[in-house]
Amino acid sequence: MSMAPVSAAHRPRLLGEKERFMLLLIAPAALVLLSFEVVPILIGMNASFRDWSLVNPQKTWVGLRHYVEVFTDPVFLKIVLPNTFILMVSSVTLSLVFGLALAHLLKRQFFGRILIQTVVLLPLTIAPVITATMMRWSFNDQFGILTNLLAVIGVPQVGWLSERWPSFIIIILTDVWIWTPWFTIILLAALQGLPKEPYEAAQIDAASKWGIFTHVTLPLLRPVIAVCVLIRAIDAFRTFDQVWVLTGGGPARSTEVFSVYAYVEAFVNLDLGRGAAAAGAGAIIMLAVGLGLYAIVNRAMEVSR
Amino acid sequence: MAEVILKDVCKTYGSLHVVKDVSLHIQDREFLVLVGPSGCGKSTTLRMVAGLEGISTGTIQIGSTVVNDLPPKDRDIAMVFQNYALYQHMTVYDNLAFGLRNRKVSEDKIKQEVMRATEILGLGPLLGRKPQQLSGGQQQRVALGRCIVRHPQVFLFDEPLSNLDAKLRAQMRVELKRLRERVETTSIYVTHDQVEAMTLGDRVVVMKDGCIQQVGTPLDIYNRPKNRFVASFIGAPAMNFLPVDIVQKGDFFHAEAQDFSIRLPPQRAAIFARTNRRPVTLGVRPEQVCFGPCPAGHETAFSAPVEVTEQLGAEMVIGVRAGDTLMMASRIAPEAPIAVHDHVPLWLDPRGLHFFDRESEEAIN
Repeated sequence: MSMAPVSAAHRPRLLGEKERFMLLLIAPAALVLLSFEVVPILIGMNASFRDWSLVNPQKTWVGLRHYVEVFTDPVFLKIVLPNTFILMVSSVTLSLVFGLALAHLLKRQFFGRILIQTVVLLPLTIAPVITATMMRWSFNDQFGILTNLLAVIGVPQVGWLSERWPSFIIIILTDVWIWTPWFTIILLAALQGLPKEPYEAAQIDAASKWGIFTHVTLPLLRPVIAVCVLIRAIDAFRTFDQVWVLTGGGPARSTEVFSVYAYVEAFVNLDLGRGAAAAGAGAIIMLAVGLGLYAIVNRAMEVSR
Repeated sequence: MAEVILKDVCKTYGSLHVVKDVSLHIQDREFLVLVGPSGCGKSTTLRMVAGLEGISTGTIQIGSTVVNDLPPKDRDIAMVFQNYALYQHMTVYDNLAFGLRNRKVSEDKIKQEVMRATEILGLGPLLGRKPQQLSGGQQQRVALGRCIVRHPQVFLFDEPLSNLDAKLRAQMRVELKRLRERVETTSIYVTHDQVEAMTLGDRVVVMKDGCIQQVGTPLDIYNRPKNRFVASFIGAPAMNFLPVDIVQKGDFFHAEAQDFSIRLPPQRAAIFARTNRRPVTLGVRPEQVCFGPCPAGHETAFSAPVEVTEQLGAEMVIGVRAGDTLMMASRIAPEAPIAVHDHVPLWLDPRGLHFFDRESEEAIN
C-alpha cells in the first residue's frame, strides 16, 4: 500500500467511494438476513431432499420422496389445505368487514372516542399466544366464562374445543379478534385522508347513505383495501400460534393448518426431512396464491388511479 | 330557473367571522361572479347556498323557498367543484346519470337527458370511458354535464377552472361562455381570477375579509372602483397607486409627490375645491399612463426616469420612478425608442384618474 499510493489512486477501482460506503451501511442487515434467513432456508431445502431424522444420522438423499408423500398425504390434501384456505378467507373477510365498520364509527367525533379507539386497538398489542390462551380458557368446557355465558342465553352445550367445527370457528374468531384492529387503524387513516368533494357531489346528487358508501367510499378506499388484503392473506396462510395454543391441531388433526402440519412433522414426529418438505410445499402454494393476489391488487390499483 | 336572494348572511366558526352580512339579489338567469383573494369568504358563501355549510344568521332564498334548513339534495341546485369530484369507478354515462337515478327518473328519460348534455358539451366519444382516462378539461366538462342533465334552478361553480393549465383555462372559459347561451340558468361562480370574473359575469361581486366591497357590471367595477382594494384587485397589470398632495397654485390644483407633479384638469379638480390640501392616493391604470408629448387640452404631462422595460411583442410595458412608486405604463408601441435610465415624457389620461382617501381608502368622487 505505502509503496505505490500514486499508482493505486490511478488504477480504476471496482467500486467508487460512494458505493463502498453504501455497502458498508447495508452490511449489518445483509449479514443478519444471510445468517438467519438465507442459510436456514438453504439448510431446510437441503433437509427436504434427505431422510433427516434424529434416528438416522446418515441423512440419506431421497430426492423428491418427501414432497411426493406430502402431496399425496390425505391429511394434507383433505384437511390441512382446506382448513388453511378456510381460515385465510374467512379471517381476512371478517376482519376487513369489522375493521371497515369500526373505522367508520371512529371517524365521527363523539364523546369518549379516544377511549373507545384505545380499547379497540388493544388486541393488537397483546401477543397472539396470550390471546389464544385467554380464548382457550374462556371456552373451557367446565370453567370457561364464555361457555357458561352461552349456556345461560340458551346456546346448546357444545364441547367447544373438542369438536372440529366449533373449535375451528373459535380459531377463526380469535384470528378475527386479533386482526380487526389492524384493519381498523389502516382504514381509519385512509378514511380520514379521503377528499371531501366527491362526498359533497354525492350529497347534491341525492345519493343515499348506502349509495355514498358503495359509490364514493369503497371505490376511493379500494387501493388501500387491496394492499391490506394482500398482506393479511399471505400472513394468514402461515397462522400458527392461535391454532397451536387453542387446539394443537386437534381433535384428531381436524383443525390442523399448514404451519401446524409442518411443525408436527418436523418437531413432534421428529422427521425433519418431511417437515422441511411440508414447509417447502406450503411455500410453493403460497407463492402461487400470492402472485395471483398480487395481480388482482395491481389491477385494483390501476382502475382506481 | 329562479332568483336567489341572500339576506344579511353571516358565517362564524367560533369567534372567527368568515362571512359578514352578505346581502345579494341574484336575478333569474343572471350569471353572478364572486371574486376575491383566498380567504375572503367567497367559497363559504357559495357553499352556504349549496347547503354544504350551515348559515349562522340571515336567510338564503332560492325561488320562493327559504332554503336555510334544507339539505343540498332538496335545494334544486347543481355544483361544479374545483377538482371535478367525479365518481372514479363509473363511466362518464353513469356519472351523468347518477343524480337522476337517485331521484328515480326512468332510464328512458335519463338517456334522453344524458344525450342532450352530451351533445351540448361534445362528450359523445367519451361516454364509455372512466374519469381517469380523461384530461382535466374533459373531466370538468363531465362535471358540467352532471349539472346540465338535472335542469336545476341554480348552477354553482366553485373555482371550476383553477386546476387547469393556463391555455386550457382560457379555452374552457370560452366554452363556459358558449354554454351560457345554450343553457340559461341562474349561476353563481366563485373565482380568484379577475379575468374570469370580468369575462364571464353579468355582474361581479368583489369580496374581501368576508365583506362585499362592490357589486356591479364588470365595466362598472373596472371604471368606477369604490375603493382602493377593488381598484387594485381588478385589472392587470394592476393599477398604479401614488400618494400625492393636492396643492392649489393660482386657479389650478396640482397633484404633487417627490419629483412628480401634474396639473389636474379643472373638472377633476372640482372635488378638491372644498378643501385645498388633502392627503390622497392617486390611482391610474397602466394603460392610461401614456408615452409621448401631452396632447393639447390635457395638462397631465410629466417626465420620469425609466427603471424597467418589458417587451411583450404586441406592446411594451415600462416602469418609471414617480415619487416612491414604480409606476407601470403599458400599451407602449413595441418599437418605441426607450431604454432603462432614459428620462421619458409621459402623460396621464384624465378620464383614468382615480383618487382615494389615504386613510379610509374609499374612492373620492
